[in-house]
Amino acid sequence: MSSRVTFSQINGLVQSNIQRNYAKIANLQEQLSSGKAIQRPSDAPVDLTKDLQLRSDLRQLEQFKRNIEDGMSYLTIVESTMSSTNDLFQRSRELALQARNDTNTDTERAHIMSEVKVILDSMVATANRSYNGAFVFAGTETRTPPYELREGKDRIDSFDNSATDGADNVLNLGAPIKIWDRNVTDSQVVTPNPNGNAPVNDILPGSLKITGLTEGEDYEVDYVQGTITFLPTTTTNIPGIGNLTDTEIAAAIPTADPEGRAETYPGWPVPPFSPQPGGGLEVTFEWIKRSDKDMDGVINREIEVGLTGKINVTASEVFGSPTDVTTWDAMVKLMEGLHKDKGAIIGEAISDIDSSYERILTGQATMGARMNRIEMTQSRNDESYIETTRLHSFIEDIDFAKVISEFLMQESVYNASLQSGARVIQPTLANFL
Amino acid sequence: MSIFGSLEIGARGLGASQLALNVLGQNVSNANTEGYSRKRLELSADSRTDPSFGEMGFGVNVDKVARISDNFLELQIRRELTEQGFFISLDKGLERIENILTEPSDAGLNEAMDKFWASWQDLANNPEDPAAREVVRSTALVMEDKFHTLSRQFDELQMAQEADIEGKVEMINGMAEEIFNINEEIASMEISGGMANDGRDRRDYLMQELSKLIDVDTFEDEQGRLNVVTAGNVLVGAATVIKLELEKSTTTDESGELVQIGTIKFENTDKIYTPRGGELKGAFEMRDEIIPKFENFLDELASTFVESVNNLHSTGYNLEGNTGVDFFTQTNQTAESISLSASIRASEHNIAAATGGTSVGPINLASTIPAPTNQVIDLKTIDPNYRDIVQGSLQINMGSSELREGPGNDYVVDYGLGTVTFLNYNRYAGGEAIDVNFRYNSSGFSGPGDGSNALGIAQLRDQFTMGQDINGNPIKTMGEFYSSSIGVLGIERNQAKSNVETRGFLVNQFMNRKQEISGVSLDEELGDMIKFEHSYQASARFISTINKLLDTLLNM
Repeated sequence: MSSRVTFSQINGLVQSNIQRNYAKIANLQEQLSSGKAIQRPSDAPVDLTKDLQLRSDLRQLEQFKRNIEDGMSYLTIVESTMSSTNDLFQRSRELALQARNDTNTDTERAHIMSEVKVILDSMVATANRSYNGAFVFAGTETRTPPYELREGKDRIDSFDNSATDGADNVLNLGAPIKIWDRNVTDSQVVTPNPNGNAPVNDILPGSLKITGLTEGEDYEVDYVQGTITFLPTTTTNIPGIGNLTDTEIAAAIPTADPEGRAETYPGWPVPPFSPQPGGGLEVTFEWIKRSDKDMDGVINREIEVGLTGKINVTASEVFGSPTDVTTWDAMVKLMEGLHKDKGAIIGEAISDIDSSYERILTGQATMGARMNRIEMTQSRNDESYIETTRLHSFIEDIDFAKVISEFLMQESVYNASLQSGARVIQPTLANFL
Repeated sequence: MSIFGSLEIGARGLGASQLALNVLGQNVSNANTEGYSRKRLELSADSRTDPSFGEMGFGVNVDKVARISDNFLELQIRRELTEQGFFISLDKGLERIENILTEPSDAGLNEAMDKFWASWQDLANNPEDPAAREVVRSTALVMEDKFHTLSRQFDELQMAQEADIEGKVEMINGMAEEIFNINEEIASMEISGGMANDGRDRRDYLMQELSKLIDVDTFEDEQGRLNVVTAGNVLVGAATVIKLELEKSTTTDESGELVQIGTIKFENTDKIYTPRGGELKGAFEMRDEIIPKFENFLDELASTFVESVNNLHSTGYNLEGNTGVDFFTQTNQTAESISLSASIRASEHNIAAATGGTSVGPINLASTIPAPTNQVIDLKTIDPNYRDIVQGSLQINMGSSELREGPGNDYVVDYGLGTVTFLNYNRYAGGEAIDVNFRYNSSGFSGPGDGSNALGIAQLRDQFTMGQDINGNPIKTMGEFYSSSIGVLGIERNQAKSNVETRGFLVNQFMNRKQEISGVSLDEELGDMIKFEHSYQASARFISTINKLLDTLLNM
């Protein structure tokens, strides 16, 4: 060492060595009690940077897992809904086949009709299926049900025999008159009439009533398209008016001619005329209204970094868009055929049901593919999670066996330094003089 | 030589031994005194001129009490202490910063940020759910809180540094004054030929303490006064001591707050003092460089949060169907001021989870995809409005099968520009019709079930929003920026710590060397004690022998 050694040198050395050993033991103890190799950034700065990022990645993988599971349950619900709809279709088709045969009596057809009505109600209910309070077929407009079975009301309150275009609310003989629902005055209506009412289609057969008139004699209804055609005949002596008797018309349209002219048929003024308020032919019915909101929105779940999976199926994809022959068109046609007791219409309905059925199958296939994709991502996610946890643990956690053996070794070094230090600092010359 | 002369020799011997024992006693008593250097009695043989024999011994002369010390060693020690002092200051300061940031842990900012992003994901899954919205709000509040707390703690640390600087200035002034006083003592004592040993010991000790705080250069003039110079300016001069003054001025920092900054000047002058080493320099570095650096990291992070989240949020739609709402208050972009906007605080319905969007499609693209060299289809060529496509809304069908998006799959999309790049050319050469459906952003609310804006915000987590490469493009995500800042902290502290250790090692070596030279060795003193005891006894015996001679002479 050196030529001259003083007591304070020895003392100082012993102290600093013991200090150093003690600090090492304290560090090892800290590691053992926390289980972590890195207590603070200065312990291992580069490892810590990686550590923080890995922690973050783990959180993200957990989140993706949640998204995936949520997506899967959503898809499962949608899938089962479409399955139920399929089953209902199957049943409808059976009934249709049974009913098509013209050997059925009208009472038999009436019975079938009531079962079909029940099936229709179930279908509307499934179309309006919701998950967590959101309607699943409504795209992103999840607060409004996609389809509604509603009470509708319209009024035919003017008569113009010269008009041939079947314009709204004008009683016109021989041409189909479009029905509007005066109960709907939503500003969201896509193609409203001047009053803001919604156009009607898919009326439930048997539900349409016009006060004072009889279906089949006075008028015909096209239930799918939502039009009424008043039937013209030539049995009266008023040219071009049709087989409405004057008393019937008088009773149905109580109006007065504003100019006070005497008429050949009292109560039936010369056309055209403007209606008095409260007059007119009232039409009531039930119909299936499609929501006017944009239901084509996409619902996604992020299932991997930068990868989103679409999990919803829109109403248009399952039940048909307004320009297609929709599911409701098919069902209504079937009911129309049963109601009007016409086998031919039922025949048409069967092919409509078939195409709707195809559509749902396609939808199911798409959903199936999506579910597969998400499931594969799920297993990838699980693997990533395990691997990332392993890496994270490698950096952040201590190897218990290694640290414990280091600790034991350090402990014996510490003991040795204490003992040897004690022996060195005690004796001085004074002991021996 | 007369007999009385011999007595004189004996007496002198006695005196010398006794003096030696006194010095020894002084050493032993002060063995543990800080800064004490051992004293030695310097003796020389005295002689008179005898006409017959020439030089004849006349006993022992006490020359002086010498102080055993090495001036050069002192200089070395001081230099190392100054260096070490600087790093000690840094190490302590950085340790405190580590304690403020508490990473890695569940209480740190990293965790708060992760939870924030996760809450947006959950909101994207359930945009109509008020609970999910509430969670977004509360994780944002926790993050806001964390930023505020960190900012406040940094401010407190800054103030502590100021107080530290103030305290050190006082200590320096006190020591400078004392050194000056000791200079006077030493000068007046040594001018008459004496040795001011204890004064010098004390002065050396003070200089050591002073050198821990600041860098010092010294020179001793002929009168024994030690002039102390620091950073090229005189602190202790021959005639006066020029103390340091702490001048406090109030300035505004970047966040517009009034802060008090202390500048050190020399008394009665306008010369600003910047120490070149020592703990004081470390304190300045902490206050002026290091703490602001980390405060800026936090501010930059907070600002990026506010900007990037607001950017997306203000173009999104909330549950009321309104747009243009900020999530954070746009004008508060520092760690101290970041806060949720008033509308979000008022109601969680105002969180904009939905994007607007108009549906388009299906559009029939050309039935063959362009040749492999140009597989990009620009939707804007169909209609110039087809850009800003809503993320995840694009769906491409070829015949009856759905193509898959993503690198390594069938196509990738640039949502902003509205271009689709088809990969895997061979798959499309069959001539089947390709239909594309998508939604692009125009005005209009797309429904309460739309969580795509929330998803977009959640995806900010993985987007490059910070850092810059040479072209000025961002190259880091917010998480990466934060973790690399923590990395910087760790590395700087490690450097400071290892410097403290290395310098400490050197200091210890020099101190040991000093002990070797100037330290009291008890064993040595005990041994010498026996020596002087014996010589005292011998001198006493000599005197009694001379006494007997005198007796014999007088009784003749």
